[in-house]
Amino acid sequence: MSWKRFFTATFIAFFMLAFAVVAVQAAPLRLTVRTVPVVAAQKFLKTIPKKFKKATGIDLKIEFIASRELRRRLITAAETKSGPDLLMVVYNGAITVKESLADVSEVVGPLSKENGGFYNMYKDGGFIDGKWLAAPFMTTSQVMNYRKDHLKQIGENPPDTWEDALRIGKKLKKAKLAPWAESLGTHVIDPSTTILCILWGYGMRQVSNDGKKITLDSAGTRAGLRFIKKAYKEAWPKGVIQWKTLENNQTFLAGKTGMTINSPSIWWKSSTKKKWANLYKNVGFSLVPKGPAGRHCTAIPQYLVLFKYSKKKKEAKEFIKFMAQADMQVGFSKRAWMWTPTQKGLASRLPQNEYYDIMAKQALYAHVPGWPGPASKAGSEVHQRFNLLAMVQRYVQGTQSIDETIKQTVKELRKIYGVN
Amino acid sequence: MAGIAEPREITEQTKELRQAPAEDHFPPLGPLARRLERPEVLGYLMVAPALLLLIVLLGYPFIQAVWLTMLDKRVGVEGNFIGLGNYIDLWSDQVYRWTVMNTMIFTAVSVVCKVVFGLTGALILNQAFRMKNFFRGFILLPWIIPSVLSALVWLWMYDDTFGVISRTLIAFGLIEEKILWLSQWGIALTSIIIVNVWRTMPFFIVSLLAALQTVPKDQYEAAEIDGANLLSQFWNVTLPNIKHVLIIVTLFGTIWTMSDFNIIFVLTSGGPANSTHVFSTLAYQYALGAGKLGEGIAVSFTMFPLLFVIIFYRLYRMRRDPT
Repeated sequence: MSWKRFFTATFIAFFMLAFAVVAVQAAPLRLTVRTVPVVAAQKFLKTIPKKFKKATGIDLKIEFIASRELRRRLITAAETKSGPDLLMVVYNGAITVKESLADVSEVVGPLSKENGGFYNMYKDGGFIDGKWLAAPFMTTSQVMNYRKDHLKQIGENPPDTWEDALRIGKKLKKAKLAPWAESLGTHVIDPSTTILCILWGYGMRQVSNDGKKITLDSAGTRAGLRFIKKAYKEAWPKGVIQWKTLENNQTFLAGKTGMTINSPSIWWKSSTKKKWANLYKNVGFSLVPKGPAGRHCTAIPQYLVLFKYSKKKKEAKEFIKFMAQADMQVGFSKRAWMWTPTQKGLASRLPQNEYYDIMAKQALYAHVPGWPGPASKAGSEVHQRFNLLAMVQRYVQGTQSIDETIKQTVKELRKIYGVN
Repeated sequence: MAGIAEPREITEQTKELRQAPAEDHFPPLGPLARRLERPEVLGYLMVAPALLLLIVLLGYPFIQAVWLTMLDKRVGVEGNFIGLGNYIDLWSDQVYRWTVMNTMIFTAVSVVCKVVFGLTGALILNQAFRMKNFFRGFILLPWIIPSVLSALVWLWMYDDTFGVISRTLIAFGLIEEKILWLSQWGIALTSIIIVNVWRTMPFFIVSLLAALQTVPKDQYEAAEIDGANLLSQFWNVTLPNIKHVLIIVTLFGTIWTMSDFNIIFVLTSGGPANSTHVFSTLAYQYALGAGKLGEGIAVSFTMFPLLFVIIFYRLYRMRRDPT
């Protein structure tokens, strides 16, 4: 090779490298979040890049995707090492790809001590192997939605315990009013989380606190299963066995369900059309009932995860700090109806009404699937593979006895957790 | 004559070139070129680009998939080689064993229904009647609509509260209580099969209709003169003439049915109690849900030997058939 050619090749290589570096630096920080159905909240999210740029000088590009796409995007990004810098995840999704995530403890650690700290559930799904791998972003509480007018007709108050709920459910059914109904089909949200609320309330724990022993075969599990079967037979419509996650919303809005555990989306949705005006006035919220083992529930905690492949880690951490500011958290929650801030102390800055009050209180009792074990891939896997839901479905439908269904599930859990 | 070009003048040089042996037109070939020009070498050389494309686009992903099934691969982590560990694990998994059975039942019943109804539909549409062209187009509708959308429509039709099927049956006094179409294994699998048959039957009808239209009319006339009745004509004239199309259509139908995902995922997501999974939905649950890529791919890979046997047998029989 002549010197002339050598210099030309070196110059081209240097130019291309410099161009690549500039291109990476000039590219905006990429964030992927779920689309929010509430128009005002979606508009608020769309204003964030401008606000963030003004506050920090960093360019931000937000991509909105359907919530059901989040899981697929998470897996794809982790496996291909390409995609957004920051991605929204729900429940314990971060654990599934923990090896691909950057440690964000330096920003989330201090935030966890501000404004009364995060709700506990955030630690269940975001604090992994002694460090924060997922930054709390927003909470969707799941509360007991009920028809105020129907409960008044049967002379009942909102249920405080599961036994109250059953009594009310039976009365609603007897009075031929819209019944109590809980989804029992196959889905990772409503059916999977509702059965956890009941089973936890009766004392079911799938695994010990240290995650080293399967503790499913217990009196609490049996009591919880018996309660669900009783509620199915005596209070719930038979069709709930095939309900996934939309049916309880649809039937509530159609006046065919009078009480159900759900996010506050029913309340918001009923405000959007004139035909639901009467329903809107009559939707009430109460805490998810408690059982003999206390009040436990799930919520839908949402996090932001930062991928190791990201070239914008510093900027991404700036964004996490930016979104954790009280103005952003409260500003979004006020517009979004069914979302509440991640820090307990910010609840006082929400509109003071019965709805936000219940949503904020409910978050205090929330755990993520896999609780009470530490954040683990096995806990997430049990949720995703519907092991506990299938246990309930088999018993409720009578295809297996209570002992058989617990025995089979224990076997499955032992294999997944790799313990006895 | 106007419009026709005059023939070019043939020069002396051109004449010489034409008369000279072909080898004299070009420079002599070197030993490598001579070897490459041999038919047995040149043939392979010509198909090499296509072969390379196949290897890159089909072979590599296939081998990569086989390799992944032999790793304990999780999302975002390099897997360790565990040989047939994933397959052994799967076989001890009750849900997987149930899924194998479901897939067999789902595929066999669906394909048989599609062949029977598809052939019947094709025979009807092959007759002369008013608006037959309209019906020939109309029949394609289920196949045109994206499968997710049609599955969602069926989900609504099967709904226990708003579903049109139960409500209609009750309105006609045929049933007293709503049928829970997706509530238990047997009825849920039947409901899934109905949707699958409804959706892909148009492919069978249209393909078989095209085959039916190629059957020579004189064969029917000859059969009729020989006294063959309709059934005999169908058996001895129609069926032998459309046999190859029928085999190909059944082959494609089997492959598509066995790997169907959308309908099952939308209608039941494999439930209740993980009892209506087929290979594709279980693979999705293990790979994308639980993040166990190795195990998930192993689930979908178990389709391969079954499909291979079916395809090989069908094609082998076709090639041996002298007709």
